[in-house]
Amino acid sequence: MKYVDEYRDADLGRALSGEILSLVEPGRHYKFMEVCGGHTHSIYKYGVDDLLPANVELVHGPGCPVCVIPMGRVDDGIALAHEEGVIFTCFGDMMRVPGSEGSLLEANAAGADIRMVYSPLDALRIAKQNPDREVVFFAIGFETTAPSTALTLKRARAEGVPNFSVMCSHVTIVPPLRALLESPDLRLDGFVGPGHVSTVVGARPFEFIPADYGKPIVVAGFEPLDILHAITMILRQLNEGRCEVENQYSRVVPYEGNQRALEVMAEVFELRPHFEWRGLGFISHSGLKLSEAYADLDAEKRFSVPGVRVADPKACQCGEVLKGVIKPWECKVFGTACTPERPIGTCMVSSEGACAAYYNYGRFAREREVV
Amino acid sequence: MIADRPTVPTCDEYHCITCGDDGDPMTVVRVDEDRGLALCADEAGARHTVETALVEPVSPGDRILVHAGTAIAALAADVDLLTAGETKARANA
Repeated sequence: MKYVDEYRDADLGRALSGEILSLVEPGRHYKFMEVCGGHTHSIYKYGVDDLLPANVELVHGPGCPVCVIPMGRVDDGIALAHEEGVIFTCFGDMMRVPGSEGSLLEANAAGADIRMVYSPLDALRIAKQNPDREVVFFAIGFETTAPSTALTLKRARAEGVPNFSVMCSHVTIVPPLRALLESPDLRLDGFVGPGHVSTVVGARPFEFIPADYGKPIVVAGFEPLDILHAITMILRQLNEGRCEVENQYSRVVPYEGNQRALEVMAEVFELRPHFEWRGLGFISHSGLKLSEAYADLDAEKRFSVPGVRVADPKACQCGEVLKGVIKPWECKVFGTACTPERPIGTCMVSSEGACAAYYNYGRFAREREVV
Repeated sequence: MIADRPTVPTCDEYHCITCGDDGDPMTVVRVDEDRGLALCADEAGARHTVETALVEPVSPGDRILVHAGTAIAALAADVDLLTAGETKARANA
């Protein structure tokens, strides 16, 4: 399969692994954060970390939109789903995220009409097929997904679909990265930057990382060779005393991003003053809401949403996992009280969450051998 | 998207298209210019309806990268990983 097979070539993988070994300085411990949940998933699915020397550690970042949704937001969605006549639509993993009194899946079992969709366009289609019902789309995701929601809202407006609205929980990637870099308990040597988010925003927004914090970042694709190659690029920067934004995923990511996507997002969304992130707390200007021009399609204005803030479960250490302070298996409920079947924390819900990736691929509590 | 999609990852127990930051390469089969949509085929031939406003103009045969039913980037007809070329040379050396 083109764009896929060539990036899983075993000989190239071995060559890159050997190159990484030749680039690391013995005795130095390297800590790199992969920002995106898609990278986390690929790393554990393909065993990329087993190809790395023992002194190169990958830390899993906050780039999984399901993992960062706070409990209160799930409760708001469930309350909305229980409104009379509402069809509530969302992406699959969102269904299993625990709120304070159960998940959307459990609300569905209790009688709410909640449907899984693959795209916002599917939700709009449901609205057109059910003109006597109110259809709400629970929009989550970073800048990769936000343009899709924005285009669907424009289409709903153009086609005159009055029974469609959006509960917007889209987030942006730069503010949480800045928050992580400000965190005193986190020491990183570099970043593997998000691939498809950068297709939309470009690589330029990450220039603050080398400029303000002196850390290299390499925007990378999602195939195993992409990730290994990004690590060699970070190591080369460190060895050569460089510190800059590099684009390993240039086959898809233009440095300036997709201007049309940025324009449509600017038209449809505006930044919230604050948005709560699970485990990271409130981060300024990190969430999107619908702009005034689209306020009539805003589910939070159309319906009464409780907006209650719920503290994360005490046993759950998703916050520390998201900040890379602990490894998933170091959480006291990992694999016992918290499993993908009955998750306590959101990192165990999405397979792109660090905990679920470790759990599903059996990569916990094991010793590594030096390659 | 309207068609069955046996090959493109979907939200299920082991995957979430949003969390995975998915991008699926597809080929444009037919364009509906009036509605800003295109019928596209994934790598295994399964058909999908895709929003194309962000990469227009598109024509049958064009390659696009699709996320959540929206084309987010146009793909060159024949691209090679820029840097895999270097790595390939090293592997063969």
